[in-house]
Amino acid sequence: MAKSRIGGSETRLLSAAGIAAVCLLVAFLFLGVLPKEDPRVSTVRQIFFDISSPLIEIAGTPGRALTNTRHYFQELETAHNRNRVLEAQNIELRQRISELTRAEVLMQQYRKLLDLPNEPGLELINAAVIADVNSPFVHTIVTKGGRRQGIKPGQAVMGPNGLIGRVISSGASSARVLLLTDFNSHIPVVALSSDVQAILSGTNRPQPELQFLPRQADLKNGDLLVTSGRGGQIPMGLPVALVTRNEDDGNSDSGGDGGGDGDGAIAIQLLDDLARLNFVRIVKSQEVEAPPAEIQLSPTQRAQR
Amino acid sequence: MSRFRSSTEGSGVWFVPYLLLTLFVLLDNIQTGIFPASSLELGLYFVPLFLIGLTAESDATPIIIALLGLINDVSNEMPLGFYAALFVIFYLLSASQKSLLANTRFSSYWLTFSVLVMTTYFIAYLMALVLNDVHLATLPLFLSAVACCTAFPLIYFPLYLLDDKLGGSERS
Repeated sequence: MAKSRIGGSETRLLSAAGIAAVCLLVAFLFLGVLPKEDPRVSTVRQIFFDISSPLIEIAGTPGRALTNTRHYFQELETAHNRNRVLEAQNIELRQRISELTRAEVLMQQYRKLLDLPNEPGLELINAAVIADVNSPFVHTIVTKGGRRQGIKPGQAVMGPNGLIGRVISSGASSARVLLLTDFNSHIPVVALSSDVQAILSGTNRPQPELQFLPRQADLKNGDLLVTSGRGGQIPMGLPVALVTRNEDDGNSDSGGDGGGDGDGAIAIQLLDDLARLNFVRIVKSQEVEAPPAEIQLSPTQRAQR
Repeated sequence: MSRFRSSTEGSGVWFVPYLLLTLFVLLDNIQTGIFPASSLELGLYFVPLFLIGLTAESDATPIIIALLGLINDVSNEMPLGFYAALFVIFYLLSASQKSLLANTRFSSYWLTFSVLVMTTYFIAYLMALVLNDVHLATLPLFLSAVACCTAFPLIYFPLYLLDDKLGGSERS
């Protein structure tokens, strides 16, 4: 009895192994035939997240509640010190507002002078993050809210402090966002202080890197990188990251002849912690009015020039 | 006698590892904020997959596993077939240990599981090198494998409690 049972078991296992081999073959066939960016696969993914997002959201509720409670008590401990810091920041920000108001008036006058079209204001859509598809292979998130809320592929996505990625697909009730750290993310940026342009590319590591950076580029520690708006998909001027320089690397690279500000290896520090995103703001794209083919100056303007 | 025996017949809880596997696949991407170092792929689904490999004898098992692998590909933004292949490979590796793990202690299970997970992650690394679509960060991948091995007892013990029922049919 036992023997026959063992014999039977072996036969069945062999059969299961054969079926497994066929499954393996089919899997490799899929890998060979269907590329990752195939539109049909992307549609299937979006449908999957549309269907599973309510379940994922409900399942994540206890974990989020636990995290929020932990943050609440952590913040209570530091509330007094934070209050002092915030008061100081408030005073500084009030000064900045008056400076910005003046700059805005000046910019409007310059625009009028150059007859430039008005840039549309940014319209933002708030969305909760419901899934976090981060692994050694991909860095994406899924947000609640899709086409019904006006979210479309290509739109820029902002965190609390700056750009964090862009929408790669949107379904009826969810949208997939490719984070800046993903290997497939490439965003044109410009350094605010030196006007140096480059492409910010993800590396699947926490810090992205700058590509196509001019050799003579003079990036300094603390330089702010903003979107350049090249390509027209992402509005210009959205803050993205800070440049940090590792001075030790700079000393060894340059033979120890300096090590001052701006001599080290360039590293990029994103403005937001992409592992702790709960809410994001999606920048609703708007059509920008095309500039006139040739700037027509009035006689008064010519005289002023 | 092995702690995990044939479970597909006679027992009412044979589906528990499958249910766990499905849950881990579907809920892999939950946003909780508890694990901020989320570049790690914890890969908890390998634990029920290991148990399925050791216990299941149904011919449909590899098909179910491959389908769940495909679902994991969809939910993890991977090329279709990547996790399906890894799941089936891991299942085959686990099934090959069935006779070796008879009459062994927990430490042997843990050690075997660790070796199989490391092997599977190494295969994933090799596949990522070959495929143009997949780009990986090597250190997080290695850390993921270590984290998965470390987390094994967390999933193992609840299943260990079910062991009597899982192997009940064969013992009786």
